[in-house]
Amino acid sequence: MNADLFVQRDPHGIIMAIIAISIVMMALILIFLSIKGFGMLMIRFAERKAAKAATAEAATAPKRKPVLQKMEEEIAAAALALKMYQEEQHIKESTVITINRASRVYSPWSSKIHGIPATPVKN
Amino acid sequence: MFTFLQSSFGSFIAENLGVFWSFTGFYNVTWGHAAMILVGLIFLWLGISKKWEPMLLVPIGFGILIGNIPFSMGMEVGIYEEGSVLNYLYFGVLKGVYPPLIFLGIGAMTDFSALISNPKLLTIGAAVQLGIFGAYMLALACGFSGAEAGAVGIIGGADGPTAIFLASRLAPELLGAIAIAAYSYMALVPVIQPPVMRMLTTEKERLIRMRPMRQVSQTEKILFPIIGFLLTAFVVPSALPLLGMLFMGNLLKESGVTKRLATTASGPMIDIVTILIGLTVGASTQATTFLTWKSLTIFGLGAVSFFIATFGGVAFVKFLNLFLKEGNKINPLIGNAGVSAVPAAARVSQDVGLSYDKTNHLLMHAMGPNVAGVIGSAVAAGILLGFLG
Repeated sequence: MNADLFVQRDPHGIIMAIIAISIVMMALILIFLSIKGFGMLMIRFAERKAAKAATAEAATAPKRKPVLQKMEEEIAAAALALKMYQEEQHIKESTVITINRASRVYSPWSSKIHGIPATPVKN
Repeated sequence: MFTFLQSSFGSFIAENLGVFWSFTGFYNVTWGHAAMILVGLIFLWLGISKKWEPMLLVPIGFGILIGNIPFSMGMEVGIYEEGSVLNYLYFGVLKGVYPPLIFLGIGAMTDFSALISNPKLLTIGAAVQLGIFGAYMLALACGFSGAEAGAVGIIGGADGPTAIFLASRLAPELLGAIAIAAYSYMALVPVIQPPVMRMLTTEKERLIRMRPMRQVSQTEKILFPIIGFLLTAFVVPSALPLLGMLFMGNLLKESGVTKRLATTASGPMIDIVTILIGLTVGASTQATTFLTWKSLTIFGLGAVSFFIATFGGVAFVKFLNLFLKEGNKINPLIGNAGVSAVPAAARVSQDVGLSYDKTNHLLMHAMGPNVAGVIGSAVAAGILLGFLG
């Protein structure tokens, strides 16, 4: 048996431990490298997308006076803070029940039209 | 009364009552059955009263009671008797059918985001496998054969399904003891790990705050199971049933188009298989085949393997920190989570971390090595099967 042969050559199991841990480490490092590489690509892609969106917004947005712009920022910050406060402090849930409509794709599998026999026609 | 017993009908009834008495548990009971029933009751007490992994300990505990009701052979009721219902259910354990199904469910419940956002945590999942190979070496020293030592070693991975999968291939005769030891110590993770974690870390290290995780895109979540499966399965094809099911379950969850399948895999299906695996593993501890010195040694080795695994994880994080810049350092208290007891080991990291700093939440960081441990132990099982099978 392979196991017995292995133990004969490695009676204390040290070689097995070293080889096996190295293989586990290698397999996980392979995943690590691929995720890391892919993650960096995704981050770069997201940054580029955000930069592009910001440039497009800057080009289309009308120029405002700096004072007015500052005021707008303050209002936005205050609104955000109020919204966060309201969302975090609520004690009672709204009792409105919402029903999600389930849209079903038509399937002839159980269609009634196929189950109804054709009406006999007199010749 | 005496005349009745002396009559032919009376002696016929008395004879039948005697036969019935010889079939009862009271007639066949041995000290071994009584001891195992006591173990089963302790499992039930730990699961119900102490709430230690009740999903595992309650079915296993009751399974131990079922398996240790004494009976005469030939009634086709025992788990080891061909033709009995329990024997049919045990087939799933013996042939390694249940573990991959459990892995499918685990994959469908697991969120790999923590790992994807900080992939270096994967290496902790590899370091913790020291527990498996430490126990393998000790088992060899205790006189177990190569295949038996491999099956005993896998207890250190803290992964019940993987332990059952490997033991059913390498040492089916030790399966009951190995499975019981693996599941018992998984339930005892909150007791075994904290002292080792405290012993190996300094006050300063326990307070390390880890960098918040980045947002992971859906594309990354979808690609992870595909890439992860291809890379690991190509390295260890012998772990294909476990790795394939784990990553497929995760793809069902993350793809977003197979919600019903993911819900079934992570809900009703894993529940059914958990009941069956717990019950049959428990019932397989029939005193007549279970109570041996080998079983007791396996229990001892299992405990040691958990200590070695925790040591490996925490020490490896300390070693990694030597090379990481300030701000990128990893809190060594998540090192223990590299064992694949999900999410119990991650919860231990969180609890120990909070006991030193009430605002330092380590749970999500610890989930990274925890799920890496699941992958790592499956890969380790594949290696042992490849070398010793």
